[in-house]
Amino acid sequence: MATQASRAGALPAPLAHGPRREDFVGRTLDRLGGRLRKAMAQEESARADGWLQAADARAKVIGVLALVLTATFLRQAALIGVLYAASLLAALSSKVSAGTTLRRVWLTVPMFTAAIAAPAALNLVTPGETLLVLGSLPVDGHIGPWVLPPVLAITRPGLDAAVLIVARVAACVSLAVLLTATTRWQELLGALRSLGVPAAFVMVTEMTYRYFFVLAGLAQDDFLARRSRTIVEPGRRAARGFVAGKAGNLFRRSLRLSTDVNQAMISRGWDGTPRPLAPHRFAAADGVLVGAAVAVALVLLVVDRAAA
Amino acid sequence: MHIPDGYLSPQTYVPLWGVMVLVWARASTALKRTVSAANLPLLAIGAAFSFVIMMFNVPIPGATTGHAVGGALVAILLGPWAAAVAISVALTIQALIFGDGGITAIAANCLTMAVIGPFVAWWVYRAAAGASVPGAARRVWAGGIAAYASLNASALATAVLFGIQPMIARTATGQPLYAPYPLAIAVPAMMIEHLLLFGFVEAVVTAAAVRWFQASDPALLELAAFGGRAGVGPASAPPSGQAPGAAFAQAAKPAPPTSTERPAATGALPAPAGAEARRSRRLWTAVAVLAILSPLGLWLPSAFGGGAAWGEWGSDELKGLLGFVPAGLARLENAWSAAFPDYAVAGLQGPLGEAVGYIFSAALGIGVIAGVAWALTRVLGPRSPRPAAHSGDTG
Repeated sequence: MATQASRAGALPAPLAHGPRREDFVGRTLDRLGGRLRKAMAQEESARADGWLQAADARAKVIGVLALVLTATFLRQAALIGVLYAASLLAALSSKVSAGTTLRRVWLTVPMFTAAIAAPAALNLVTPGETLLVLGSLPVDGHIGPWVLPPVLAITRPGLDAAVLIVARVAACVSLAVLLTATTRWQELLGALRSLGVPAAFVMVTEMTYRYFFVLAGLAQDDFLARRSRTIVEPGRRAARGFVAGKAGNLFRRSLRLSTDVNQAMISRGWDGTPRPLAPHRFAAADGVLVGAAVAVALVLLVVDRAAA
Repeated sequence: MHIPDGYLSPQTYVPLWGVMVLVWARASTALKRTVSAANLPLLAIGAAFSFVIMMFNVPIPGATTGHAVGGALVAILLGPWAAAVAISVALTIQALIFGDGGITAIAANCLTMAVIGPFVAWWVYRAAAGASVPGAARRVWAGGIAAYASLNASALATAVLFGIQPMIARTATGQPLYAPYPLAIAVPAMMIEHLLLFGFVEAVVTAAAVRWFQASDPALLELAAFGGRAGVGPASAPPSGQAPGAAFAQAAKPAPPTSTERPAATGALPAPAGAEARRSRRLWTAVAVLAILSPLGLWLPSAFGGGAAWGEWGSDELKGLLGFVPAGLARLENAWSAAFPDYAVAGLQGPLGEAVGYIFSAALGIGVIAGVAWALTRVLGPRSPRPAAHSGDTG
């Protein structure tokens, strides 16, 4: 963890506007640094002194999974909104910063979901009762297999479909943030292990996360070194050759690292059997947490089916 | 390409979890044959590698940059099964920690990006490279073509998963409940950018990486046992407990770039395991043929003037046979509405549409049953003792 912390501390602060579009070195460093910062922020948030942080990881996994599954089954946007509001309240009352929760949700939602959902509100995709006419279409008739209407308009079923999908994605992302921002990675993996996920998979995941920091650090060093030695970027072909070389070199170093790690493990008694840490004690409060989550899920599902 | 939560209906993501559990189990069996049981670090560090190279940006036309996914490169280097495991692990971490892709959609994302992509890459690479030596220019082309095909196959699979949602789940008024676009929109929207731009980025980066390996370390291109089936580990599998890198080191040193000989014994399976694999393959082939033939059930009864299968009468047929419908049956008949009533997928009409619906239902059914059977064998089967303490310093 010391290496990870120092690595995160050494990261340059993100640029106000991000690197230029054509700056592949800057953009790679930005992406690598962004990932490391995000992981660090999550780990820090999971160590805070909040009520969800204190809860057993298994209870949180079961509770969040029940609520995420519920969100995917609900058909009323208003009920999904209730789920989102509840997750937001739980996060804020458990010392997860509003910035973390809101940014994660509303940066993901507009970038991907809204861009995808917005056209679904139009009569081009979802025909139905017109709510708002946006204008007439310059071409009338067919384009390939598509039949175009004379005007471009927002329809009621289209808007309902778009709102439903945005609400569902927001609730699911918010619930996932609630889990990962209040649970340390080791505890989360321990919980998955005790809930039946195979030990070998959990161990590989645990090691992958650890070595992601190591390899991302090596890649950062490579790209930073190039940045500090470059006055004028050579052509695109040379740049692509550089990136391919760095990927190849990283693979070679990864293999060497895996050999070293495997030998270190064997010399410490590793016999191929993963042995998980003893799980924490499941307290009464954790049972209450699971019960509450399942109860909320059931109530929402019953109300949703009654309304449908 | 990461599918978030909320885009796929439960009728889609639940069977996909069943399918992926089977794939992971199969991958684990395949890797046990070629890799030492203690070879977890290679998979973990391979996963970390595939995660990191996803973040490398490269200049692309139009004074901008794009990033490669790297799935094809990982498949070429590690083999398809190891790539499937490594990329699955990377995608799981992305979903849990970084919010790339949803939790319920982990299996769907793994199917498209960790299974379909790497396997297409591997098959295309093998076919395109033919019997060429590691240093041949043909390998560079093979890498590029494999990467292009792999990324587009993943994108197509993702587009199909999106596009079938309006057929599977709609409200009574026809409003889509999940991803709103039908196949006619989802497939072109997804494929145009991948066919015209991202596929070429992936191809150029992968081809350049293959060329780098040819120039600096050609033996690494043979690491995945070219011509072998399971991948990972050169030539023979390292004995249990031996470091994978030891075998890697043996493979890395002797092969000169100009060598015209293929490395010996490329992934030959031991006889008993091979026989078992053949039997298993025959069984799965038979199951696939039966699934494809399942629409015969639509045609045969009408061709021979038959009715519904014995014991599968609906209330209408029962009324014809008995003259009345038992009250309890009438009450229960509508208690459960299946995801695909009569194995039909909404939106697929006509004889061809019904046949496709039958095959789709058969595939989903087989996936779910196989997933449940596998889970039961895991739960009820013999277990290894689980010690309480933790060991193994992972650095």
